[in-house]
Amino acid sequence: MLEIKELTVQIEGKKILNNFSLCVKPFEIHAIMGPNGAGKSTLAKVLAGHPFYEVIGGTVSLDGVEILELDPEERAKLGLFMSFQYPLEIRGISNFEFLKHAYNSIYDVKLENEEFKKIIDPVMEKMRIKPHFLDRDLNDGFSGGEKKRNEILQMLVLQPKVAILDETDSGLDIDALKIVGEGVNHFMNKEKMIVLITHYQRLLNHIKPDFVHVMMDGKIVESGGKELALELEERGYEACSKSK
Amino acid sequence: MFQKQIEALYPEKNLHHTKAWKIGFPDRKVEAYRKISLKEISSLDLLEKGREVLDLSHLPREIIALPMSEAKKTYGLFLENRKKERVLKERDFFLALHEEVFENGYFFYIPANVVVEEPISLKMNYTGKHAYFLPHIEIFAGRNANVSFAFEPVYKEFQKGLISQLIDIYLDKEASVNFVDSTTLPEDAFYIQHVRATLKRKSRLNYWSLSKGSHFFKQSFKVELLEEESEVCLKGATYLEEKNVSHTEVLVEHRAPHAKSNQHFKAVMNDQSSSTFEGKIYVIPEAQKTEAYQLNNNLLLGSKSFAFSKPNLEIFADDVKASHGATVSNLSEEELFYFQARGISKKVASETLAKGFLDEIIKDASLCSTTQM
Repeated sequence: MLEIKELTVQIEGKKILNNFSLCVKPFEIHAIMGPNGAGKSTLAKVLAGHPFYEVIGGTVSLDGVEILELDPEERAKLGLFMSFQYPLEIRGISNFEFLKHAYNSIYDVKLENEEFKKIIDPVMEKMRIKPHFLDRDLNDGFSGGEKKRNEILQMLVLQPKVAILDETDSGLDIDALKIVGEGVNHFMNKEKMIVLITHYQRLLNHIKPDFVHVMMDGKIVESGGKELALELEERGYEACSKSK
Repeated sequence: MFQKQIEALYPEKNLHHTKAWKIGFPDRKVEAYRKISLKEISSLDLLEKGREVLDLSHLPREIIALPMSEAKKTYGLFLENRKKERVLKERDFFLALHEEVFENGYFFYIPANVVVEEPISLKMNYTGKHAYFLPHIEIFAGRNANVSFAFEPVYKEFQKGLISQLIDIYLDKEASVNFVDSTTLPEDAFYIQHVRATLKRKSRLNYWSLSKGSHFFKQSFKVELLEEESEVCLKGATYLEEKNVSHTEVLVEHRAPHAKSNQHFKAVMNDQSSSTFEGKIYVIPEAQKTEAYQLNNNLLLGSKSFAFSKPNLEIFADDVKASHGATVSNLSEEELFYFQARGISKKVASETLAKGFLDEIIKDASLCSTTQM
């Protein structure tokens, strides 16, 4: 279970998250929606351990282990995964090498290329990614859609307990959106948890959330079932702002 | 102290009257040595002459490779003229001294139109204890010849010493030479390398220098683009750890129109290591339509690491495309975070990113090398 209690975060003295609380249980998908500047991406980065943010209050635990004092790599080893909104382009390391490094590190094993290929190949097939993709440098020269697909590929290979997907739908065309949706659904099972951050309802046509939360000014202002996403599409976030 | 030791090693040479002695042991006033600790080198014990041996048995038959003593019998005139030209222009004490006292060395003659597909491995063995080494390689690439060398020194029986190395490459018309110089020095090596090259019409030289520095490491490049449409590409990748240093000095002289030059040197500094780069592009008034580029990028990883960069242009022609630039930076926190968020430690992330920083240079070089880099 991922339990966030009254999390308060600031950057350069400005509060971005303000007493944010959320509880995600296994086999649950929570969608977090909200306007620009609501603090959604900050939430994702703080959970993953980004060093730029200052946590000034609250707790976050994953399966009972407090994670706020842990380094990002320790959180990843505990089973926390964040899909980046803007995956970085890094030259000098191939996708394959990067993912093998990550897998070996998270599972504390030393798989060689051939052994690791057995793990990655079926996932590549599932994500309809061509083999030469693995030889390219990490996200180097990738289109927005390719980068996002690569993030989902990483998630499927690394099999974390909880996946925080930060605007995975942005930059995707209709077909890519469908493939990413299928990938996420394939990932989900009784032991997994997903926090889906998005601006729009369209990804939720492919991934059915159990809960939808509206986030504004660094906290959740409204929660509901998947129908809330459709309502928001109709009435916009401003209505939430007025009722807050 | 240094000069006395050299005199003792070469009593027959009467060094007092040589150009080296006239130039004198460098001090901080000499620009090329301003950032270099000369104290250590002047107090170095040099007790014997080092031995540098190159195995010539495996070389392709089309290439003529000879120890210098034999080469002088057939190619004496060329070698003598080449030496005269070098000495005439030289202002560096260590190179002037090298020219006076070197006794061995190797000469490679690649006849006109000879093309060697596979890179030629030059494994030079260094043997000596507290020794003064004078590795010396001269290459003549004949008209339209095309060849690649991978220079990989071996220091199995090396124990402390000063290596004063000269690599001289002469390219005749339309010749093409690739030279990959991978130097992993023993910790207690003092290393001064001079690379000199002259390019004739439509010839092309690609030179890669890959090194980890040492506690005294200086390389100096001087390339003359003597005739039209000649082209040189000098690239360097340096990875420094602990207190290692690397000093790079480059002079590319454009002496004819329509010639091109490109310099790109990258260095990663860990721990307390330091690097300096001083590069100059010199274009004479007649060298119109020159294209000349120079870039030096430094990545500082250690809290006490240091980089100094001084790119220079001296252009006396008015129709020239030229640029120079330098960067000094740290690793991006965002890139480190991306690795960490995937379970990879900061240390491994730093190493991987540093490797990536040098990769564009190393990748190119590996195409012309005989071993994995």
